Amino acid sequence: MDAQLRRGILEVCVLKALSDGESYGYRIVKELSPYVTMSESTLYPILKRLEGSGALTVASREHNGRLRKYYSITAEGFRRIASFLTEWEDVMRAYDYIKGDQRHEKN
Amino acid sequence: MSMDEFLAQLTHRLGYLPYAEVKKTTDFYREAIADRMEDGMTEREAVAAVGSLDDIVREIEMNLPLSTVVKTRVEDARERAKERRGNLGLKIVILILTFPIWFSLLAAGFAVVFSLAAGLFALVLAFGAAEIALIVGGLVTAVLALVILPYPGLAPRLMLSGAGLLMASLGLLVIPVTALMEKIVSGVFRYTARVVKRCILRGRGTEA
Repeated sequence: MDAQLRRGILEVCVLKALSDGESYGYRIVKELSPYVTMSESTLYPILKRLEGSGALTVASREHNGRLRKYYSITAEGFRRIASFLTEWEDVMRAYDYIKGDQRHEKN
Repeated sequence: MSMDEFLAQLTHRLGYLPYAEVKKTTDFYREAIADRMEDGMTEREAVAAVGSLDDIVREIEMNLPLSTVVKTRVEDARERAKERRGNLGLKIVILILTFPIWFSLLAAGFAVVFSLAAGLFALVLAFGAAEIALIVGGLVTAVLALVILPYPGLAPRLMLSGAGLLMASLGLLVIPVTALMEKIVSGVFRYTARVVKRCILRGRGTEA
């Protein structure tokens, strides 16, 4: 898959993982593991980019005697998810068209 | 690899970045490893699961702004120059003697890149200007033809006003074209920045 496209999809996946409430790095990786392959090395730059673009906020809190960072989605983050879903409908229409053409070619 | 070894190696590999950035990164991975250990993994399993050092460093570098990469590269070069101070005199002499060659090549390269960038900007600017001129000029013509101009009879006034509206609608048609041009040009700039960054980072990798 094109790197830019994959990056964009992963960003929205992370935002979706935060849409039900705040979360932390490892929990996000675990939540997304059935759907996308992602380790912390992929997640870290994504979180940084999303924080930089105002799609999420970060707060540190104590957990078991150490600090843990919790990420929360912002209104901009929700807007990003909505815009991704709208744009993806166009992509799916094109996908159906291409897939349909291939079916005709096979026949 | 233990967590301490992993974090020490990560700190070393990112040593050229500002301290705050390195600390933020190591804190993130320390937390990720600790979370995985809390979940039942051994320390070594947790370190292996967060990703390889090469992947981590590559991801971080590819996400750095171009300005940081260039600044880092300049600082690297300065550090290396300090280390090899013994040959500094000779290098300066060679640089001065070959100045007509490298400077003209550098200036030509800069001129080509600059003119290409200026050309692309001018293209977007031209479309934008055409769009504004057509819309504003068209609307003004449409209104003035009916209200102010001293044409005898209604027909020439209506014709001129219609021509004005046609101009304005042409201007509206140019709006998506301008937006597309803007998108293409910004895409070209972003792609160029990525290629330059990749070249610089590859250069660093081979020299390290």
